[in-house]
Amino acid sequence: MNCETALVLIYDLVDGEILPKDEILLKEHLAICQHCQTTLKSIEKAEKIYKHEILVTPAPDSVNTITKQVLENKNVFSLQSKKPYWSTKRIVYYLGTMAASFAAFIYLAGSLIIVNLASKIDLTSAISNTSSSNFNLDMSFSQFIESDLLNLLSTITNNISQSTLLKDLAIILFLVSLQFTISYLFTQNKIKQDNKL
Amino acid sequence: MNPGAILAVTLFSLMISFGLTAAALATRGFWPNLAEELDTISLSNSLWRRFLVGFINALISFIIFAITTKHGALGLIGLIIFSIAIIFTFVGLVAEFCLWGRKILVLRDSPNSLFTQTITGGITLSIILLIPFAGQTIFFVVLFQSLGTTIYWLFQRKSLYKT
Repeated sequence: MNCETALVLIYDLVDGEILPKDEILLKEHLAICQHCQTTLKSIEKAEKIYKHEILVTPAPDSVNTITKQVLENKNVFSLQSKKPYWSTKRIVYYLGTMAASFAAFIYLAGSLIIVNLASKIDLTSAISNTSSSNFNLDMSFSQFIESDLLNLLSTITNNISQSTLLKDLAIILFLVSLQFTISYLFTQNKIKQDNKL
Repeated sequence: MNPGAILAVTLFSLMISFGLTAAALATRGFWPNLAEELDTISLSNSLWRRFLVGFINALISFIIFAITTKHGALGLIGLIIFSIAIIFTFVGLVAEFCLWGRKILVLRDSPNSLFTQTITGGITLSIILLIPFAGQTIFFVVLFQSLGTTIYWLFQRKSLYKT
């Protein structure tokens, strides 16, 4: 709460019209703000002086006169139309956030799954069944896939499966990203204007 | 549990909580702007949201620490991440102690200084920590909240000054 808002609540407090919720907030602010404490004291002092020295008596029929004037003026009761909650901007914002979160999740989960799957695939037996592992220009595409590509894949997967360090590193990267994403998504609520410094 | 163990736990709890209160006071004294920003963040965001953010971050940091301890060099990264989480918790306690103190001192219906609020909050939490099991649970909840407050501060501190 800033001092500007506190001043409004101080007047409400002095008038005895403050809500209990606001009173707690005001007291919290008063506890740390010397300036507002002084303001409250001076307003209370002024209020006491006015209460004891000036006596205001309403004129006879004043209430009836005011009510009549208010009722005659139809515009008094026309309220400003409230803005709808769901605007295009808001929908785009929500959809964008959801899409970004989903994309981030897919990317992170996908990378983790691929590393895990790659470490589990055992292609050694598949390689041993292939007749030729030498590359020559006459071989068909299927032959190329069976020979060299499988050799390459098996080398990579063997390296990965032998080292748990890579797997753990992938898990750690995933967890750190998850930590950041959760923290970011949670902390996106806006701070109330009253609480800004 | 034998009386010696009870005394040891009590003394340990008191040392921890009073040490943290003193650290919170020192932080407030040396970095008043940081303390004020943390106060604002703790008042602006709900208790449970801060707890949830703190709890998730603490859990993930601990898992990372547990995984990395298996590997030599990687263990250092885990240790750093876990240490950062602990430091963040201590930083957040500056606001939490003050918040507790303020809530309690409001009952006295008199304005108080930040010093009194921090001391009151620290003493209250120290006494709460002495309650077996329940006290420690509450203290851990406050610690998670503190971590959450600091995480919130990291992400929201710029928006504190926007008008």
